[in-house]
Amino acid sequence: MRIKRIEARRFGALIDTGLTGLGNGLNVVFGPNEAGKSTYTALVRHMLYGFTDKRRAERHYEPADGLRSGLLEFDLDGETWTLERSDGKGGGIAVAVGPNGPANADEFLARVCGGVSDEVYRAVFGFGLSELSQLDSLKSIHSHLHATVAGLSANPRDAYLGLEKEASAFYKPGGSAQPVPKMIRELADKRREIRAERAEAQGSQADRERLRELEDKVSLAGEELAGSRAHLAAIESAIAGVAQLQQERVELERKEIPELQRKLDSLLAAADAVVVDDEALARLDELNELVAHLDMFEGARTQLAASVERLDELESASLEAVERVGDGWDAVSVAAVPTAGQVEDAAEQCAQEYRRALDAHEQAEKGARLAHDREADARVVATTAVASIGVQYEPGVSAVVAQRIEAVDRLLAAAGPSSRGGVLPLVLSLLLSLAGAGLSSWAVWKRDWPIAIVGGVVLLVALVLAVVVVRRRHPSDVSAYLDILGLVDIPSASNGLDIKQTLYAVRDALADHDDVSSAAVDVERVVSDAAAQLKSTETRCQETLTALGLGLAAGDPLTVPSLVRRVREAQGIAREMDRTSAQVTKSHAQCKAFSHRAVQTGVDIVNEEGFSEVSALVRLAAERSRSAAKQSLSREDARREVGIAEKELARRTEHLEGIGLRIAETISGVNIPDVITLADLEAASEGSAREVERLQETHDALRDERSRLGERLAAVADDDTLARLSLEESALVERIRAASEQYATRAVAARLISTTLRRYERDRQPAVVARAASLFEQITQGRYGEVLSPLGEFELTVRGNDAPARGQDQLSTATAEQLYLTLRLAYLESLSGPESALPVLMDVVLVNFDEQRRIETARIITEFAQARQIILFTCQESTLEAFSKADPGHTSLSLDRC
Amino acid sequence: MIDSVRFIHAADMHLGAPFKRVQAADPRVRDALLAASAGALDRIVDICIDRDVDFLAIAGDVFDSPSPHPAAQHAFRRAMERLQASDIPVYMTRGNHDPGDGHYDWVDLPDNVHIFSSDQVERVVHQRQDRATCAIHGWSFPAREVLENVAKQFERVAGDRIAVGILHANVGDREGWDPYAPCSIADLRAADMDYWALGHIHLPEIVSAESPVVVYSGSPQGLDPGESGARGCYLVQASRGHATPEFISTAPLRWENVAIDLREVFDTDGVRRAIISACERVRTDAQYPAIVRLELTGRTAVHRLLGASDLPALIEDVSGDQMERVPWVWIDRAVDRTRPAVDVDALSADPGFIGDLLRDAQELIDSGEADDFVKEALESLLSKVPTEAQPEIDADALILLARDAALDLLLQEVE
Repeated sequence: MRIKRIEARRFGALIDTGLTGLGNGLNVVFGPNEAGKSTYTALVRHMLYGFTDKRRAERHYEPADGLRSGLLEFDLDGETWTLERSDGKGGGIAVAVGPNGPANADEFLARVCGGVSDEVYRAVFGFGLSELSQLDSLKSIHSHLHATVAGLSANPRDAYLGLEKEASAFYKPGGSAQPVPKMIRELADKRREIRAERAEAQGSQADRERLRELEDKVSLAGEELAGSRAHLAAIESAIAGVAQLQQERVELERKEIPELQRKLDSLLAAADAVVVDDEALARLDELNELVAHLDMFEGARTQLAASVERLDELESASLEAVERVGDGWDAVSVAAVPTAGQVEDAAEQCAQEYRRALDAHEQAEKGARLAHDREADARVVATTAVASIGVQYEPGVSAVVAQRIEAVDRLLAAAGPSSRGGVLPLVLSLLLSLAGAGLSSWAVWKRDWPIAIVGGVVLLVALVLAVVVVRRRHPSDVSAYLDILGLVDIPSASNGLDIKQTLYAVRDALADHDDVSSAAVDVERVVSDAAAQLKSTETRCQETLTALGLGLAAGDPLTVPSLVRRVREAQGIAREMDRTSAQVTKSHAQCKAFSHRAVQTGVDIVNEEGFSEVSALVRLAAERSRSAAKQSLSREDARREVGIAEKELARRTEHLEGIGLRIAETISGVNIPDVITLADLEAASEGSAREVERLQETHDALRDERSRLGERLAAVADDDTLARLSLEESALVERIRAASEQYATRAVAARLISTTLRRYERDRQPAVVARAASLFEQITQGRYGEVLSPLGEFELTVRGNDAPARGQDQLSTATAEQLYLTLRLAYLESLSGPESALPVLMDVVLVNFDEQRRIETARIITEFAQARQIILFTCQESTLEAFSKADPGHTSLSLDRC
Repeated sequence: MIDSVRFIHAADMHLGAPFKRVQAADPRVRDALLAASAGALDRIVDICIDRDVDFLAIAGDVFDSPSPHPAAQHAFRRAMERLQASDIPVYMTRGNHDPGDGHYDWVDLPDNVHIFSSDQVERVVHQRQDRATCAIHGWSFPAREVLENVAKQFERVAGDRIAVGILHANVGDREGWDPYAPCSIADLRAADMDYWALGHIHLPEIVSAESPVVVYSGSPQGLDPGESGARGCYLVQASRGHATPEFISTAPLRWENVAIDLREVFDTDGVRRAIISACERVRTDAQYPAIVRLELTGRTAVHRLLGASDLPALIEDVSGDQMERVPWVWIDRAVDRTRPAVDVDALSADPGFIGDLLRDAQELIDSGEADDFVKEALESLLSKVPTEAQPEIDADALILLARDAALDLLLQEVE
């Protein structure tokens, strides 16, 4: 690879100028100060890696006006390529043009730079005096250089640092803010919670045991309490029993027994006080029988008196009823009056007969009216019919019409033969007309017009012939008929047959009228009979009603309503008479019965003497006897009550005597030693009550505690806090493990890179450094023959054959620059990839070298230029001469001051 | 007379056990986890009642601790009371997690629960009206550590129509499980049982399908991501010399570990699609809410993207969507095990820094110095992080992961 031309269009102080004629191998460009040597060096770098961003703290080579731009021309494997770059975003716009025209600038630059980064380029491929003295820059590219050797573009040291950084995102030794230590702390906290929860669960175990203990205690306390309560209840029951017994005893002693005694005494006295008339008592039954007879007798008497009185009332009522019937009526006559049913039946019969007669009469009259109407209609029809033939309607007209009909028949008979003889011609004419029609149709269809005309003529002739035949069948002169018949004009008749039909119609009309007239006469006769029957019925009804006393008043016509009304009246009267008659009959019978009994009883009474006195005596004796009986019963009752009172008194006395024993038994029943009195019992009760109260309190306290414990344990049983905490603990452990694995991979990778890098630097660097030492020894003419680099460090130590070792900081500026130059050259020499062909630009790097060392350096650089293009800028003639001596064939160019 | 019995064989419920290895950042997931173990137990009870079984056999580790929390004891008591109400007896042994010397007196178990003796193998004759008679032999852990072969004490009694053995034991010296009550299949066969209801191993397994049928019912509910897949109990129909176990899933919550190969994925959207697709597969297969751990694998072009991009944010986003589906799928963690799409062998031959790095890494593994190397790198971390939260360090694997991470950074611009 060779840079053939560097064109600075606008770059720093360089405006539209350039460096052309650059050759292979060594190019020494001489230029005084301000000729643009450093600017050209920078331009090449900017062309390859882009114009620097103005935000970076470095020189940007802005032109006085306009934008930065430049051009490089390359000889690349025999092909000429140009790279233009003009200022713009992202380092400016690069345009690459090859032998085949424009090409992808990025691909071209990648090919040219061979993976060398900007930083590496600055350190090794395009450096000036200022970069040369910066050992740090060499340190920083140390790994880059080796990466480049391995085909890497990533810095192993950067990779190492990147992995360290990534690892520290999870964990960092000594750190506390990273996820792993934070989660470890969380885990510790979580475990504390779990321990607490487990302790609580263990506490729950103790609670459980305590609960069981409490269950037993509560049960025991409950039993004790129940026992004490039973005991107390027994004592209280005994106390109540004793008190009740004592109260009972007091009641008995002070009240019940004395009262019973007094009652007994009283009953004894009452029993003794009862006196009984034994004689009267002995005749009690006899007297009672007598009194019963007396009562019966007195009842009969009373009934008799009532019967007489009732008889009188009945007689009065009988008379009153007869009077109400009417004057002249008596019981016999009343009894003979027809009953209401009879009257009603007769009246009803009259009414029905009359109604039937009336209906028959009305029907007859209705038939008569219909017959008259029909007769009138028939007369009108007959009159019209007769008039239609010009004859006046009058009796005997029927005969006239009959005569005319006969005359017409005769006329028609006379004309018969001519009419019958026309049938055959008519048929022939019709056939001929059909033939004509067919012929003409066929001809028309065939479009044979002459034949069609012939057919039409035939048809016409046939039709005319038919008409003639028809007209010959009847006489056409109707008037001749009429004249012959002596009739007026009949407009509807066109021939003899029509006239005959007309005459037949007239004849029928006249016959109908005769029939109807005859029927009307018959109906008139029926009406007359019905009227006679009605009249007869009316008369008979009048007579019947009169006979029943229901005759109509003068001027009151006999009608059905009047008859009904009369019948109703007759029914009311008849019913009244029925009631009266029954009443009279009943009263009469009762009168007769009572009269008989009254007479019989009166005779019996009259025959008993002194009845009243005897009756009084008997009743008095009977009363005395009943009184004695009552006294006797009272005495027995009193004695019975005395017996009862004596038994009750004995029972109470016995009860009183048993109370003391029962009190003693009740007290002893509670089974408390030394308690023999009620007071003792009451004292024991108080003690027992206090014990019950104490046990109740104990029992309640135990139950409360048990309840609290039970609730707490139930809550623990349903509590999943521990499970949740354990799960969270597992999750934390897993997260720590996951983060630790992430860390482990990165930490081990970093360590792996670090180890390899250290070894690589240890194993490979001495070769580079050894080569640098060789070059350094050459430049210093053997003053410093050894360069050392401690393991893993980029600290350089130089040692001469007879000089003490010196650190890089202990070297003079020029010697140090020589050392650094040899290191760069050694690195360049160690390169073997595509980047090894990249041209190297050095800007006045030999300015501080003394002459001898400059010459030696020139020799070395000349040797390096055998493998690559080197463009060395200098402002010293001596340097120019040194290179001229070292390589007389090198390309020498010069720059003028800008 | 019916000559067979039907019962449920369950074990290792570990009630009260905290779920491990789960972040459960979503409250719905936390709630589901908290209810899962009791839910699985309820499901077992439901099955017992629905299938009208003769009894429920529990082979130990009902509780996770010898002093279980009252809530766990209450949950178990309620379940047993439901069985009592259905007249279904329970025969249970105690395991190493809930041995006989524990404290379980917080709640009183109902009368239908028989806990086998810790002193010796106990035989109980189960008999229900109109049902077959069955002799159930069982033994409970007296203490946490029992290293004797208890299976040898089991022996069928002459006349037992059907014999069932219930034992919490490590059969066949299985690695990863405490070697408690160790025994062999031969020991079990010698006891002449018709069915062995085993507990201790949480993975359901029919150890022997031949008579005697030997079965680990496994845990009814997976307790951590390691217990993935279907979990449940066995419905057993047993008769003389014959038993048919039928697995029934009971876990209301599934754990699933899913590896997603990203070899053919080239961008972040592809990663998202692959993760969503994996979640859909889990949903379809599990039929229950599932907590998923994803492992992204394969040499892929997105390796650097996954390292550089915020993978947790992507997972959170996808998981948030998946939680809205029914049943939900929760991505609890996604581990990036992808590798850069570079030819490591070729790079190892490179004489430059990359070659040195790869060779150094391999040298650490080959020389056996990886462990020390990793421990030194993580010394500070490991000294701070509690042991149980420390990453499971496979030094060799970690070296390779670290190597790939370094390659990502060193090669990023080349890619």
